[in-house]
Amino acid sequence: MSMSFLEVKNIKTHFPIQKGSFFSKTVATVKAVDGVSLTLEQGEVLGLVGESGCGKSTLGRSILRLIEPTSGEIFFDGKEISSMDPKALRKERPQFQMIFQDPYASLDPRMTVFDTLSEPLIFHKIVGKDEVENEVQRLMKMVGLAPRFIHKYPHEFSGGQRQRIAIARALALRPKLIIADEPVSALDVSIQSQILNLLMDLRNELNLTMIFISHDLGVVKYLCDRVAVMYLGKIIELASSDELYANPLHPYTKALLSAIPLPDPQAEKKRERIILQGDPPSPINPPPGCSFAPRCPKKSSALCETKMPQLIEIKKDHWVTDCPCNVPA
Amino acid sequence: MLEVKDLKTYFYTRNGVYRAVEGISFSVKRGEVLGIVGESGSGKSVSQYSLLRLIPSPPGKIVGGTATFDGVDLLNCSQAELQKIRGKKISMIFQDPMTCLNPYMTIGDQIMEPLFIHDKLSKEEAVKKAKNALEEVGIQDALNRLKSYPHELSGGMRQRVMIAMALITEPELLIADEPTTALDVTVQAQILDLIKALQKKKNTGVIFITHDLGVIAGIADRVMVMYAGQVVETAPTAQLFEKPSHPYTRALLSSSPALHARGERLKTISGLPPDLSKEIKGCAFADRCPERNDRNCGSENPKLVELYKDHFVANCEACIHHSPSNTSKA
Repeated sequence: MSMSFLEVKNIKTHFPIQKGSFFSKTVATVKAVDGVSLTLEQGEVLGLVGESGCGKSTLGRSILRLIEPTSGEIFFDGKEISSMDPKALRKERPQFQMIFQDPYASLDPRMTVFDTLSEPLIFHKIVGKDEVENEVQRLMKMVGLAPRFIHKYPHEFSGGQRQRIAIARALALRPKLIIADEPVSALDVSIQSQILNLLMDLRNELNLTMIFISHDLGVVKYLCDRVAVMYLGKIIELASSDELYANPLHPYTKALLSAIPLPDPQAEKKRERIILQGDPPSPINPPPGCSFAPRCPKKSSALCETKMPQLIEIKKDHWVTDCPCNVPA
Repeated sequence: MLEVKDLKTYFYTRNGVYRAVEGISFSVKRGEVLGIVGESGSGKSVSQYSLLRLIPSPPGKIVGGTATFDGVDLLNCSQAELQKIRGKKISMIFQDPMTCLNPYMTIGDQIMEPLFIHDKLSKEEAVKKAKNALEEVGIQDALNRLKSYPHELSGGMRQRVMIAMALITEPELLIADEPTTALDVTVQAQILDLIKALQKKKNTGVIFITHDLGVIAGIADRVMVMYAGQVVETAPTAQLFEKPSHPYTRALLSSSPALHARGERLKTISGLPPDLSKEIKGCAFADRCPERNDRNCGSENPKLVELYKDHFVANCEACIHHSPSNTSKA
C-alpha cells in the first residue's frame, strides 16, 4: 500500500491531573485526543470541526509534536515523525508549520516584522545572509503587506494585518503542510473574507496541504475538501465536504449543521433546528459507551451507553461511528 | 417604548476625541426585537451602554441626544430615577459570561440581588423566584445550583444564569450585547431559542447586538446596521436581506462564506474602518466603498432617508440608486 502524504494512526494525547506538590501522583487523566486516525493527500485541505474542548486544537498540535502525543504514529511524507529525536525533528520542522488563532498573542510584541520573519530564515539557513531582506520583502508581498512596513512592530497593525504577518511567518520556511488553528475566528467578517481569500490563493500557488481547524462550519464548507467532525477527543464522522453537508449521518453532525445561523431570514424561519440538551461530558471521565449518548436525540438502546462505537466506512469515503443511530435513511 | 434621538458619545483620550457614537436615532416597540449589526468599533455596544449610562466617565461622555423610555429621559434624569429603571425595567445581558459574573458570589446571591433592591422581597420569596428563573432557562437541579459559584458552571450555563438574572425582574426592555458570541454553535442555538421563547412569552422588547448576520436573520424583527458610529441602514429583517440598499450592508452580506460555493473567491471589503479620532467628512464608508461615485461622497454628510416603507438608509445619493435590486423603488 502506498503511503499518503500525512498519515496519523491512532494518536492519543492524554494529560495527567496531578495532586500534591512534591510527592505528586496522578489522580486522573484528561483524554483530550483519544485515538484519532487520519490521512491526507498532498494538496488537500482537511477541515477539523467541533465544539470547544473537543480536542481539535490539541490534535493539531500533537500532529506537529508541539504537544507530545501519548501514543500513536505520525508519518509525514514517508518519514515517521512520531518517534524522531528532537534533533532530527528540528531538521524536519520547516516542512510543517502552524498558524495560530490569535494574532494578538502569537506575535512577539518586541520584534519588528523583519525580526519575526527573518528569524526562521536565518535559523534554518533558508537563504544566504545578504538575501534575507529581499526574502522578507517577498514574503510580505505574498501575503499582501506593503514592504514599507518592514520595520514596524505588531501593535502598529490591525488584527487582519497581524494575521497576515503570522501567515507570512508560517510560509517563510516553504512548508508543505500547514496546520491553521482557527486563523480567522478573532477577525471581523469583512477582514475574515480577506484572509480566507489569501489562504485560498496561497494554497493554489504553493500547492499547500492544510489542516484547517475551526468551529465555524460556514467557513469550513467554503474552504475544505474533506471535513472531520470531532467530539470529545474522537472523530465521529469524516467525509468530503459536499457529502458531509448534504448527507450528514451522525446525530451530532446533524445538530451541528442545523445550528449554523444562516444569513437568510426566509431559510431561518423554515428550517428545523435540532436543539441539543446539556453540555458535552467531561473528558476526565468520559462515558464508557458512545460519548454523545447523554445528549443524543436518537439514542436507541442501552447499548449506546456501554458499547464504544468504532469509525467505519459506511459508503465510499464517508466514515462514521458504527452506532445504530447513524444508519443512512 | 424607547425612543433615542441623536445620541452622541465621545471618548476624550490623550490621543484626541474618539467619536464612538456620532448621532444615532432609533426606537424599539414593545415586543419587538431590534438587531444591531456592525464590525467591532462601529459603536454598537457603546450606544447601548450609553442608554444605561454605563460608560466609564472620564474618558467617556454622552455629548448629546435624548433617550426617552416610558416618559423618562434616560440620559438626563437623576441617578435615583435611573436606578429605578436600570436592572428593573431595562436589563442587560453582557457579552462574556466568563467575566461578567462575580466569582466571589454564589449564583443565587447574584440572581437575587435585584429582587432585594428593586422588589424588596423577603429571602424566602426571592429564593423561590430565583429557583423558578433558573428552571425557566433550562438549568436542572436549580435549588442546588443557586449555591454554586460561577467557576463550577460551563460557559453555556453561565450565559443562562446571566439571562435568568436579566429577566428575573421582568423587564420591559432587554438589551443583549453579543450574548452568544463566546459560545459554541450548538449552545448558541439553545440560547437563541431561549431568548426568543421568553421574549414571546413576556412580550419584552429586545435590543440584540451581534456581528453575526446569521444570528440576526434568525432572531430580529428589524435590523439596524452601524458603521463608524453612525446608522447606515435600518429596515425590517426580511426587507434588509432582500433589498440591502447601502453599499456597506451589501458588502457585508456578500462577504459571508456561507453564501459562496467552495473555491469561489470571497467578496471582500478592502481597507479598514476609518479612524474615529479624526472628524469624518462626508460618507464614512466612502474610502472603502466598492460602488463609490465621486459626486458627493467626500463632502456631504449623508442623512437617513426613508427609501421604502420603514426602510431607512443613509442617503448617499450616488450609491443607493445604483444597484439593480433597487430598480423596483417604491
